[in-house]
Amino acid sequence: MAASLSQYRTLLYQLTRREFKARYSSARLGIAWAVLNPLLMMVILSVVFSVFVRIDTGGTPYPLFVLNGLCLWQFFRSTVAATTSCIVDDRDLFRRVAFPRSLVPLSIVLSNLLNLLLTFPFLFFLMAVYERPLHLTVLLVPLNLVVLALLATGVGLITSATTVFYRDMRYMIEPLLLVLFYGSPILYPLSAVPAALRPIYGLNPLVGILRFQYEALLGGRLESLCLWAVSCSGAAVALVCGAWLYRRYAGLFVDML
Amino acid sequence: MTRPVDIEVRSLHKSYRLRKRRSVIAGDLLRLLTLRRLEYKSNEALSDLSFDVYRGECFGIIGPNGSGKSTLLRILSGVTKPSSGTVRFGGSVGALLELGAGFHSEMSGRENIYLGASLHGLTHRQIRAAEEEIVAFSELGDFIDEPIFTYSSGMLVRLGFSIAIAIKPDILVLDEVLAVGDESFRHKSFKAIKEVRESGKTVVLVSHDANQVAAFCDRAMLLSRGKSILLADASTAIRFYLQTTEGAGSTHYLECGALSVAVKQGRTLLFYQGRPITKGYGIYSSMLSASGWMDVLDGTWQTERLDNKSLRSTKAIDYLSMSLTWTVRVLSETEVAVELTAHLEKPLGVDRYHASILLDPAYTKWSTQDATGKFPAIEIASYEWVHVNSKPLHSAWIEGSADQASALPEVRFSVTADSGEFAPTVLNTDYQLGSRVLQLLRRNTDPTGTWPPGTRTLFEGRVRIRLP
Repeated sequence: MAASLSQYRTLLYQLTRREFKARYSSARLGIAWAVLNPLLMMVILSVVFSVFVRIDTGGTPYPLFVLNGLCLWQFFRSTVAATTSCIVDDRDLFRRVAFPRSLVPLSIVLSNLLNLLLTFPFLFFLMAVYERPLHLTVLLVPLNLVVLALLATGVGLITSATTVFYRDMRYMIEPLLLVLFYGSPILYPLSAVPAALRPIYGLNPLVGILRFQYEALLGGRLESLCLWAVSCSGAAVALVCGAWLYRRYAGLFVDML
Repeated sequence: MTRPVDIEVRSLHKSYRLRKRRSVIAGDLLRLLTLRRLEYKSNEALSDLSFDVYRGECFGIIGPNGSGKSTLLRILSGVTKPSSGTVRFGGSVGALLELGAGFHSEMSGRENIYLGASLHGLTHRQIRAAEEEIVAFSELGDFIDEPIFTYSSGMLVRLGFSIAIAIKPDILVLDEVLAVGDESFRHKSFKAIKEVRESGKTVVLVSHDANQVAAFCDRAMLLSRGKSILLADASTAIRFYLQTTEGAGSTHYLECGALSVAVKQGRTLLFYQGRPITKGYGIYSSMLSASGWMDVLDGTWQTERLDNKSLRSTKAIDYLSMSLTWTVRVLSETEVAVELTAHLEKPLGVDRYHASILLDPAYTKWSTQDATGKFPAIEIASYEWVHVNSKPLHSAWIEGSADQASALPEVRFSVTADSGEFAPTVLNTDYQLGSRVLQLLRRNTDPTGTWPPGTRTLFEGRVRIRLP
């Protein structure tokens, strides 16, 4: 079925809206949770890692450091976790209507992206509290977010298609995400990673993105562009793989539901 | 003049792959790495289906549960792909598999209109243009801006149908959605679908409700076990479907071209181009033993083996310490073989048994090896047996032929030579079933009148039709 761009756009908009509404409409605090969630995490982690265990962040106040990484991580984690089971969870929809399958994971990415953007005002507020200057490099943050979103899209496409054929993926994804969480410079700075390990450590595409974010927002100088290039390549590879999986197998999803 | 075709289906196959074991991802990875194929067992849901749906007609698809209706529907609607074969459309397709797909319960009715319509491929502008029409049709009034979890199920269905009817595709594929809502809304939705038809759109209706199909459709196709058993005008197809499915138990259809064979609980029904050749029990058998008449229609038959061309079923008859096996096999487009064997655990005293075929009253003449005759009119309370041949014969046969006007084929019922001697017998009128009975009767010629334990073939015969 040939579908026009405006059909896609309408459907993507509607699905994103549904996704976003579904998340907050039943909660009394509603959309405030989008900000409250990373905030609470930040408070807990700040207490743990600046009172109980001290982590040296090279002069950056720990709450600011951890919130910066946490925002991006929360976006990635919730996007991948939600997309992984999105087809299986929404099986009724998939079984009843023929529509471009990839729009469901895409709507999850967009809705989470909106969520992420909502946390930025607070991030800037916290920077003001700690009297951190804004550098020109902040203008590159949106570009970094695009790379992150593309990476999450690619990974989400792969895991969602895989889950249809291997339900085990649903259970595997949480521990995998945990490994990724500790394998990324979120709780600790990149400088804490032993130099010998860096080449392997840098293969995690999140590393470059998190580092870029730190340098663009809090450092003011982009020093780890090599790592970021790895992230961009990682995003591209994930996206191509995910798109290929959908192209080849999306027509058979329904048979497995 | 050929009519334009809106849906062209050719050699459609669909099989579902089921993994043999619940496989672990690691095991599959290992197999992929060693370049071995993953192990699947496939389950064929549709096989070699070809048909055309003409522009502007209403095409019905009927069949028992598990016949492949839903699979075909999913392929037509684009929800899933065929394993092989092609489906070509002459226009845009709108499919309603179930109403209210994708609705979100926390969102209002109006928001769900946008969501539901966009899922069916409408653009924002198109939805806005249709919005008021949808709201009006749904008769939801002020409720339209309430979250739909506050709706009753009837209201949900009304909203779903109102969206569906507003999509206005060239080809509308419907899945039993007509039976929705209360009486007045159902009437309204009937009317709406009739209007779609009258505007020259093509409608495909999938249903197991024969009355719905009869009310709406021009032509209908009967599916069974993934195959098209019959494609005929709707009333013929519906009659065929109802006649072959009445009573308890499932009906099995065998593939046989213009001749259709339906087997159900010890009776075998024959149809020619969807019109009945047999009536009542079709081909069946009964036996007079020491315990009285035993009829193959009593009790429950278990299907032992079933494929596209043959069916074997068995039945245990406990009070006679006996089991029967009934095999029906399609030999060609015009010939069907039937075989009845008995397995005895104890000796059994048998006086006689017969195999009979009950023909439609359109059959007016009979003939055997050495006699011919005419059936009189069927009258109430008149049983008139005509023993046309008192002498049993080898390779006995008996034949019925119909009026020229009925265009039904001649039917010859015969026993194979080594089945023994049978006496062809005719029951002129059977007012209860309104049928003509052609019978092949065998008396037990054993002086003791008793069959020893073991397996014996009671009857091995053929039914052959000759086209008029």
